[in-house]
Amino acid sequence: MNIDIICDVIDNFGDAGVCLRLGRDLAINSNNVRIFCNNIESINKITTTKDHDLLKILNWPDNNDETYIAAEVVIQAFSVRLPQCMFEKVKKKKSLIINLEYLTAEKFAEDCHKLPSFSDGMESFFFFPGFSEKTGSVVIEDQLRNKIKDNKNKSSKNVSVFSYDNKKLLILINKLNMIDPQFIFNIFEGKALDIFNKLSKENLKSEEKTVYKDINIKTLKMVNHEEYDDILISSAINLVRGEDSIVRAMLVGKPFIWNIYPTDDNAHLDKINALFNLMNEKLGLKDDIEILKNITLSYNGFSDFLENFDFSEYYEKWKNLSYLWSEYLLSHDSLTKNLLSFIGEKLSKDDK
Amino acid sequence: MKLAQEVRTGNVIMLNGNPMVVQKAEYSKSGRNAAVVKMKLKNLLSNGGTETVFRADDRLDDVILEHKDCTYSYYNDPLYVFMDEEFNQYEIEKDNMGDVLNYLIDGMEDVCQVTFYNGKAISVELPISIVREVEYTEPAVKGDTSGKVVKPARLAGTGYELSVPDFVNIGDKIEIDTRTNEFRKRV
Repeated sequence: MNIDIICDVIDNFGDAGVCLRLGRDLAINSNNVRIFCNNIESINKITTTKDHDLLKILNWPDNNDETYIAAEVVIQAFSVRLPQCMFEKVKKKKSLIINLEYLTAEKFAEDCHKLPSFSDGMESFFFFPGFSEKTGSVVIEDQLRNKIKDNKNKSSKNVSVFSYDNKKLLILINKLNMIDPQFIFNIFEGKALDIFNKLSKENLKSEEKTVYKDINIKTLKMVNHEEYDDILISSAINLVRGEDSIVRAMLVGKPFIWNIYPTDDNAHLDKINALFNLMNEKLGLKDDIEILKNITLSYNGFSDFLENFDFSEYYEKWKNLSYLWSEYLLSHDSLTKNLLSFIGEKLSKDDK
Repeated sequence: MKLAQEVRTGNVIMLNGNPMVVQKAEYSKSGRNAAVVKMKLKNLLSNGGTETVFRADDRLDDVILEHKDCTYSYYNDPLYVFMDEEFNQYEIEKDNMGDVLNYLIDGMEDVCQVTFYNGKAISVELPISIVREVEYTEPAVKGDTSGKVVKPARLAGTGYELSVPDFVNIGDKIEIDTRTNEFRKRV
């Protein structure tokens, strides 16, 4: 099957990352996949040679480009609107259009999942990634499942640090260091390292090591998806940001703290609450999950809980709930499988 | 043309050539700058129902209908009765009332807009902004005036619950955005 994924990069690497993971997994499952991205430099920073063998990663065609031939299935990622020249071709071909939405644990995602839509005279279908059985799940590659299994009981002193410019980052690092002073905080270049330097008044560059006030710090360069997964799997704790990395951190089953993408209207507060409410509903570890929710809210600027919290006693409980949440997520089929099955249903209905 | 996020219960939109009355429109922020609106629609010709999702900025063909300013008069089970300035009465089915029921109280003075299709009253809309009294909410946490911490509050008259900032107290009158059912400010 020919599948086009249309990706609009707003900022950072999250949107491109999700499209790339999905595109790659669809291609591994015997589909011809093209990703059309409006910021090809951004997506190419996280691709590997293997990706370019599996997929075609292309710029959005400009409006005078007549060469675009629409695929059978067109995935509009994250509310993107097709460029005009693609729109006309897709409409003419009557491609199956999927609106792949943002990941959220909010109830409306379940309510809107797989529902039809009509826009500009074309029918399309909403497909919501999610954490419950009533949504489309998240991308879980077979390779990732195997790696998680192989590394299940390995201990580590590494803490991965990937964040936005979060003013609480240094407080969190200090607090986590109290769990084990031998921890090594591996901070990724970019926003995480910039904010660490700003808060600590250090001037670390990529791929350096230092000890800052008894805290072991190592800085890392940007890595591709596969390397990032390996880092998450082999870390004791993962500090993650945005949509793509929180999903991977949850899947690997190690303690995680989420720096959510902030929105001006505080919509991210509802998304944090919804995630932990769902975790509580599925795992039933109310007190432990409430603590993690409070840590997350505080780390994202909603309270001072973090400043007064002692992680030492919580660490074992945190490890346990992270492992159980991972087991719950891994018990679901991958988004790829669910999406392909939905596409199959729709295409066979059209044939009839 | 109307943006999907501006469509409210009672509006009629054209979908594939069919006039569809909106029985429910739920706006949800899906992420970053994106939002979706889930609509429950009823075909005015066939009476068939359907559920559809739109992106909040989708442009929809709205059908120009006749409207009249009315006030709520009384409930005549199972119909809600509204009255215009000339004391003409119009009955609206419960299924077509949508979120208006969250705020409908006896003696309310809000001027509502009743919509007609082929001479029949099919729906009613509240003003965008209305004021209602909080019947119950948990006490505020001392010192929090940020508005970031929210809690549920129950409205007097209907029992409808919505999220309000922590500083809102029992007996407060609050302004509500009826498009989104969100708290706007304390009056």
